[in-house]
Amino acid sequence: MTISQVSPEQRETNRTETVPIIDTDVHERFASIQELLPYMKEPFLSYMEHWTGWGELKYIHPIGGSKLDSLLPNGNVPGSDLGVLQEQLMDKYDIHKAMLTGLFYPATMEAQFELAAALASAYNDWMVEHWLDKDERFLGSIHVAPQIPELAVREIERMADHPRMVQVLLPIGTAAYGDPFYHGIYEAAERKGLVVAMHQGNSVRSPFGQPRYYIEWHTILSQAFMASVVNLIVNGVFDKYPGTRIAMLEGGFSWLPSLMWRMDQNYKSLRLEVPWVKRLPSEYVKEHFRFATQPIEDPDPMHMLKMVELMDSDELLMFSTDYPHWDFDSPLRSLPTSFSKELKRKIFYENAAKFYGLT
Amino acid sequence: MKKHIVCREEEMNPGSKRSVEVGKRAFVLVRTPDGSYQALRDVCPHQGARLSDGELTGTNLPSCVGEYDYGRKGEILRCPWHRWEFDVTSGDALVADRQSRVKHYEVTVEDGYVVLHC
Repeated sequence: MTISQVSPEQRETNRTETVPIIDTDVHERFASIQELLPYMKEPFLSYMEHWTGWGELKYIHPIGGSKLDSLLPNGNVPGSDLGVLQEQLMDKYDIHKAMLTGLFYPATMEAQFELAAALASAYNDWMVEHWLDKDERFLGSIHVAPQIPELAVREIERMADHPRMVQVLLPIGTAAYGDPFYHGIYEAAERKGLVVAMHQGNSVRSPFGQPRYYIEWHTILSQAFMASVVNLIVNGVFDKYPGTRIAMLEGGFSWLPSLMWRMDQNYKSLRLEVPWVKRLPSEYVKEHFRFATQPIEDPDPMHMLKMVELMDSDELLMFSTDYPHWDFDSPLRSLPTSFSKELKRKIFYENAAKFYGLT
Repeated sequence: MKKHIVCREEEMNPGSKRSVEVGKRAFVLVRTPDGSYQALRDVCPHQGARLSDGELTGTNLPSCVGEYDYGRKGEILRCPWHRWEFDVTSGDALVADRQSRVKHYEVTVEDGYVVLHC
């Protein structure tokens, strides 16, 4: 065997002359997804108008995620223009107070949790400067990274003294927030007099995994809320931190009566497994939870009234629009005609005012 | 029903829509791809959105499992909020329920003018 005596430069120039090369991995790219459109046809061509890639939300939205009259002329995401939001929501419907819940949830990151905490902190500072400080009708949510509870507690303590921060926001996804791992968050929220809001997150899955269609996913979202209610109660969150208040956002509520019945029934037989739970689970629900109305279902209006009766309380519901999303509920038209003036007043205002301690 | 001149025929291209007000009443006027004119009340019967802010589009017709059959391009008006779909030639929602019909109005073309009967 002989070793050829050639310099690196000679090798560079000589290589292709001596041995042709097959490179088995070269990445060509398009500059924009738009370049694929000429090769597509309906119905998926229309999907592409809503293209944001597949990320935490695994779906390309079949109809677009926002109400079409909230689209901004400059192409920025709906909800990102203060003036438009004020005009289309706050002024148009005479909204007295609005809880800002964002849609940027580092809490659902599945890795790099220190970065998640930094992003949540940055978001909180940005939100205070660009939203809370611009309109006194806005109330804020403190975003945290519950993946590292100690950092979440630190962030709650950092932001809680802002006079219009009313809650800590935890997106419901795959985390069982009743687990003792997270209990420091409830301790901090209770100590600071904050509600803990749980909002639908895009990482929610069905018991079978990722649903194949968006309609399937969007329909079963309430399962994650049901699971969360039970999880928080049986893990003793309200026994350890009796001042805890949980606002369930965008999970619906019509499932609540049957969940309370089932929990109470099981409690009578299985209480000994969780002896720290000292009252019927339904009593915890009524004392510690409130449920935002959107997306309200549209059955017969009398059935909706019965649903409130079955909840055995007219104080559990708080109105919400979900502006600017496609399933926005109008303050003018979404509450059923069967609801009395008094019930509507409670849902539109009094229940939330009492729960959040607003005047 | 009175007749109201809305615009000249050439002012609307096939596959387009516009909002029209007659007195205090609002309508959405549609010219379908085949050139016919249709008008609906401009209020979604569900939660009251303006249908003229929605999309004039086609839709996926009932099909076999796993297949897509896109059709009726330019004949379906989709509400800007919850995307309920309405047939512009009748005002019927594609998914019928108790609040799913929009009033449909006759539109004629007379001497080059588009005339709404409402």
